Amino acid sequence: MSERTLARRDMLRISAAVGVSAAFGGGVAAGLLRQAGVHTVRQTRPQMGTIVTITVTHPEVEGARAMVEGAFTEMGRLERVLTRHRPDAPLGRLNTAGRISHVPDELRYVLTSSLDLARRSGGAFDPTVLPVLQTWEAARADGLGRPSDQALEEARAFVGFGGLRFHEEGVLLDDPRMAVTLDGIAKGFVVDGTLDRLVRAGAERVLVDAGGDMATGGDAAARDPWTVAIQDPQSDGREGLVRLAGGCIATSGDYLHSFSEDRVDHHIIDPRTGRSPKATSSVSVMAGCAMDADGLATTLLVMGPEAGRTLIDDTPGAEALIVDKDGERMQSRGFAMERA
Amino acid sequence: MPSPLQRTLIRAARIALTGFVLLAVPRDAEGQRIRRMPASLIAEVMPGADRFDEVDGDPPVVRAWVTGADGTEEPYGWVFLTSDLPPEQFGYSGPIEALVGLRPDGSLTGVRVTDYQESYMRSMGDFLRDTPGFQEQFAGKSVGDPFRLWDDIEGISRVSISVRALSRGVRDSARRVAAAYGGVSELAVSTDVVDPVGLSWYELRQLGVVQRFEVTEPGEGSAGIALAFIENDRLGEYFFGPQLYERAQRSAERRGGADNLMLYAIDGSRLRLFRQQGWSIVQDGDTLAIESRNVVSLGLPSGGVVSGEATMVGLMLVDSTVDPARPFTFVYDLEELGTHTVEYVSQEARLVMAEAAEAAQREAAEAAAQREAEEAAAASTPVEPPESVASPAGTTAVAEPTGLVDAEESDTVAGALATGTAENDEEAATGEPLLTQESADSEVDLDFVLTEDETLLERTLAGTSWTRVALMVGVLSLGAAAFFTKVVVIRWLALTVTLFVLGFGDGGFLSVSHITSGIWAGAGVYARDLPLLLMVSFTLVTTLIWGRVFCGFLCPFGALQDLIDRVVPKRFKKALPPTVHARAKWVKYGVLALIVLPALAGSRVSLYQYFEPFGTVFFRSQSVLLWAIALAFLGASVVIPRFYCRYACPLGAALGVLSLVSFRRIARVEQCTLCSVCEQKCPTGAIQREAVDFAECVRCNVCEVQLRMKAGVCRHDMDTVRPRLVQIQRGAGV
Repeated sequence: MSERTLARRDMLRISAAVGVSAAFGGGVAAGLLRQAGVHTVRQTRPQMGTIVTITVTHPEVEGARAMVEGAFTEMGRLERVLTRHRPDAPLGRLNTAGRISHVPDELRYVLTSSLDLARRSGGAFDPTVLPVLQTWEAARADGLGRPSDQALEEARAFVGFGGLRFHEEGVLLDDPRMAVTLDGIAKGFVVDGTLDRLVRAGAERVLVDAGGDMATGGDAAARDPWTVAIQDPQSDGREGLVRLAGGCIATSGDYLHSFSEDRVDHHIIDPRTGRSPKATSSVSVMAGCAMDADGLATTLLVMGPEAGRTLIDDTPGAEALIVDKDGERMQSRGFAMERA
Repeated sequence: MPSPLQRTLIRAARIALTGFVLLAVPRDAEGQRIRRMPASLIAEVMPGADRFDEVDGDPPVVRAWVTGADGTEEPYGWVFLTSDLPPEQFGYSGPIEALVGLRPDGSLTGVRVTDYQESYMRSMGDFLRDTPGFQEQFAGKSVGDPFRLWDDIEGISRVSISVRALSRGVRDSARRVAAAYGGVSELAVSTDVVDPVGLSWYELRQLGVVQRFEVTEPGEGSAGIALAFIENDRLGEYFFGPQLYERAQRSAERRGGADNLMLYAIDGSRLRLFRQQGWSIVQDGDTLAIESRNVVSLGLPSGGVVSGEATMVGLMLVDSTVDPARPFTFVYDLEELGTHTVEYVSQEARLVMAEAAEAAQREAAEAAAQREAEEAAAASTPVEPPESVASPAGTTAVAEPTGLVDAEESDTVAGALATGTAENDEEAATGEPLLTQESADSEVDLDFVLTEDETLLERTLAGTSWTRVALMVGVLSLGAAAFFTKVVVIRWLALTVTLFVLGFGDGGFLSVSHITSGIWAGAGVYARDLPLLLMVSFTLVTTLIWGRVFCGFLCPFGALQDLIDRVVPKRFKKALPPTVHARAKWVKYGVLALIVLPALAGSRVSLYQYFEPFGTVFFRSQSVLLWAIALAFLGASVVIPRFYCRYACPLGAALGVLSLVSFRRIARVEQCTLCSVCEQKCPTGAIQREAVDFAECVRCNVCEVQLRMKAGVCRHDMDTVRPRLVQIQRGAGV
């Protein structure tokens, strides 16, 4: 009797073991099949003046390629809406004529966001900084290291986001010599728009990387986050690693575009002084959308570590890593970075 | 899949190793980084070359060679790193580094943007791949595998690279390499006479219609000066645009007119390096100074082909003493900064020379043909009388000088076009191995599309380290051998290997985090990592059949505790009272529930590292808290063998649950009802007389090896068991 019970128990055990093994084996096999079927398509192109890489994970390769193709098209379209470098683009016309009557929705949104950021940062971010920026560009084109104080003062007279106004359908500048640039924020918006298009098209896991300003998304990205390194501004190495499961990151810094060897003059200008900010070397911001990350990174670089820290603490959903010129690191509490 | 902690630590170790390797490589002076470039990458940017030299020269380049059909080697090009040629002007994106392949004709065979310190490991891709147009222009194609090069980092957040600065950097350094290694002369060897009108600035420079050289003031900057002879009004208009050319003519007339008008155009950061003084023209040994009043600035270009190529343009008025139908030399004496010379051959001069060369060539060909015919005739009649030899010898004598003149003349042409033959070669760097004509400031030149496609499985297999797989197979086999043979020595060997190879070395052991990641992402996650898949499958199958074999043989922390247990004298040991043990053993199930239940509910918070000291010990954590926890567990295991396994291990708990279905269990025998030897020896306290608490058993072989002879038979017979039991009970003070 007892032996029979034991035998039956063994049979039960064996069936259970076989069942568990089969479930596991099935899971692994399904995983392998999925892996064999899921394509990662990565495409790199120069766009927006930098090198853009879009990576999409999708079960079907042709579909993924089509998605990426469409994403670059969308990126080009958004770029044309927001650029200041084309005279026939809305901003080009605004900068020439001092007013435009029709404002595309995307431009209106980015302008509004940048004015909001300008207000919150007390003018450390200012979309009307262009006259000062152009003074610098002109000085460099003429072979001068930096513009004269007088030229800068003259240009600064036309900087001030208060002079950029919405009216009825259009946008108006108080003085026709004022000029608007969205360079510090538009790239983030374009990245967001591109990501949005890819996710709506059904891409499972997406990384849009516009020369370091990144947005991630897709259902699978939540399960399997993207691993992104942050550049150390002072060496060729890495500052650390972050995982992006739908979040975005942008970095601004004094490197790569320095006008002088000591990096005192570089491509980011403090609208309030007309000169490059002196305290900060690099800022990386993680936020829910790339536009916020992009705009905040620029703003924080201008503001300096202390004021920047205050702003980021007051901004829900955004975290920052600030590296000052002495190499001091400052990190907001939620900036989840693994040291590399 | 390894736990995030594990991955981080493995990566940290890898990066540290990389850093060490990089530090170990001597970095002589600045630059010279091309020394660190692997040969494969160099071959990628210069496909078609048969052999590469070692890095040499200043600027440092790798020379490429091809072997011709006759076995002789010919120069094929140079490979260099832009960072070895630091930009002269700031704002030119110094830190961006690209590996460039350059042919002597000035075309690029490959451009690969490498990325910072570990650049060659994480290339951003080859610009010349999959690029319509770009590819046609630079018929290069490389076979890199950027996916692999990217390793496990999928992007780098940093200040955006400016494509414009990048192309400028590549172009500038390519120019300088070509200038330094003489690519220019080969590039410029062209005696074609063409109509310059309609050509691009680039083509004009390539053809020598425009000659440009650079002057540098050390520490201050440099300027490029382009010179051209305005052969006719049509060309003048093409250069300047009609309006500016009209102004140019007017100012020439105001100065009394001139027979020859020369264009000058200046670009660069230090325009003041162009002065009105110091100019002269040398022709046939005669020097004609150009008075400074005859060097006329026209200001900014406002049209014509020069527009966009120069910041300032102007005219030089030269009188008829200079004959533009013959080559002449511009001499620019910059006093303290040396003298620069540029040889100039106008289209008219070229036409004259081409005709002369053609005539000479024709003559030489005729002479050669004649000689050949005569030689053939001579060969057919080898024993001719001497008088007939005189004729061919005479012909040869005539032909030879012609040939020499011809050679000399073509040398002159090449030399003239080469420019920069002055003593100051480096500064007179001219010539135009441009990427594209527009490359100067448009972004067109870097228009490329780089597409890569890979399935996850391909990536997994490509990322699989077969050494690791082999190592894992070895460790698993050793563990299995120890378990099945029950040989004590093999078990200690297996435990040592587990501890050092799996624990401190590879890090490929299991953790409760593998359960949570399995819950989060399904069993498929194990398929991402082949060694892990082997480990998980082995553990699952052995557990389902025999119980917790993993714990007994393959857990490095278990091995560590067993080794501690082995060296600690018996007198330190103390068992918890059975009632306490019976309750405490449930704690680990609580821990398991605490970790697994939130995961099942969808939470992604990982708590395991606070309960599981594996990562702390084997990946050498920096956290004091984690070390305190780990050391507490190890300390406890000094007194109570496998303390962690008994009471705390969530992974053990999970495997314990799984082992409930195991059907090949440790057999008990008649003696077990009386004997408590096994019970005393069991490291996990799983035995109580005849009963084995199988969820607690780690299949360590101890009871089986020490106490039984073969399956189901105790080595002790009942008669010896009874007195021993009494002894043991006395000794234990029971």
